[in-house]
Amino acid sequence: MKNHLLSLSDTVALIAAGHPLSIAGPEALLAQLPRGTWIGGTTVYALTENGGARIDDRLFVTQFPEATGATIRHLPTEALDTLAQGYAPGGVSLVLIPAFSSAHSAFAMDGMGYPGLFDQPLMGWVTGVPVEEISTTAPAVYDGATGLRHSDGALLMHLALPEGSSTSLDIVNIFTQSNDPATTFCFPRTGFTATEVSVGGKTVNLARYITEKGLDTRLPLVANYAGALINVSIRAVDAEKGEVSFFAPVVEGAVYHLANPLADYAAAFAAQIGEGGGGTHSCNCILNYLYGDLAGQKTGKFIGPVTFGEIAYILLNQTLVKLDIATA
Amino acid sequence: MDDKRLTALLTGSTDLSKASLATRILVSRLRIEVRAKPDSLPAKLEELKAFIAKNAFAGIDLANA
Repeated sequence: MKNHLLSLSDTVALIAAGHPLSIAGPEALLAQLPRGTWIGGTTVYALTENGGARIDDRLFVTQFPEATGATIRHLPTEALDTLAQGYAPGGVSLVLIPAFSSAHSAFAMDGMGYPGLFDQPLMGWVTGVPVEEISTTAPAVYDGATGLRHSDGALLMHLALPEGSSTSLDIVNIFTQSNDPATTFCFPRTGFTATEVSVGGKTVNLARYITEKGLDTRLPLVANYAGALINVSIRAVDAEKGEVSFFAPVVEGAVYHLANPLADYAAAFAAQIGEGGGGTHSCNCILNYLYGDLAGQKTGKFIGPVTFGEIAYILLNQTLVKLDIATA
Repeated sequence: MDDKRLTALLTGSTDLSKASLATRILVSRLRIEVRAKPDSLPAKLEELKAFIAKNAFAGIDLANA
């Protein structure tokens, strides 16, 4: 894979060259791209070689020269459970989903149970908008094969790879679990919102509990999935209504711990990822970008779009997702 | 891997940090489902076995767990 931060004209030239591309950038530029073998998603933030930045006049392009074939599909929300039917044997699949869409919600709630989901790396992200436009502009995905723009559904690119290729999809989570019984939560049902929660065996109203305890809602709730730390980020706390909303669903039966505070997000990433990342397709979360003040700060060699949700098989929050491909 | 070992994996909390992300998430989901409905264990065991049969990496992941 090759990552590029390009002008519109350079991106057009790369599309003409024919390699499959995943493109992130402002809608005004995505809308001008010619048809070709590419998928695109809206975001104006990226982690670049020079640090985090707004990319209002450029596009972040990942090129997949290793691919021997690419099939692009747009799935409406009601067909998301057929997602894995397009997997090319031995390949990888990319997925883009607009934030706050019905597909975003459905994938987050049900994706973990889709047939065949885990049979090959499924990497992607949730598309967004400038933060000042969250309530006024709809995030979108662009299907390069058809030239169509979609504000709902999932856009997939299934990549075929040469025989003998090896792939790796993993996450970098800079947060750790606090393991404090007072901030250990079990939810009675799966969902993007919660009212009641069990803390130390006692049921409390989560919104009021967070408010009374003065908990830092910039910290995610972290569950341990058999050794993988999976975050759920808090979107809003409405103490009056007694409801907390999240950027991904909390799962009934999972045990969540509030994360330990972090003083320096960029340093935490650098400590975890070291010198790796060159030639990797990756994305990182808008909340890390905002809460960690990553604008202008470097986070190692993992460069890529800053996104409104990360996908490594399932929807993740406040996480770096990385995909590596090695051909024989 | 035999059913006894896979059953122990689904009903226990063995850390699979060295396994692929796919295996970690899938096993975690199956564990949560078994905890919520213990009588679903046979079905979840079959689902795990089918996953291993289809994906060689998962068998390697779990053999090394």
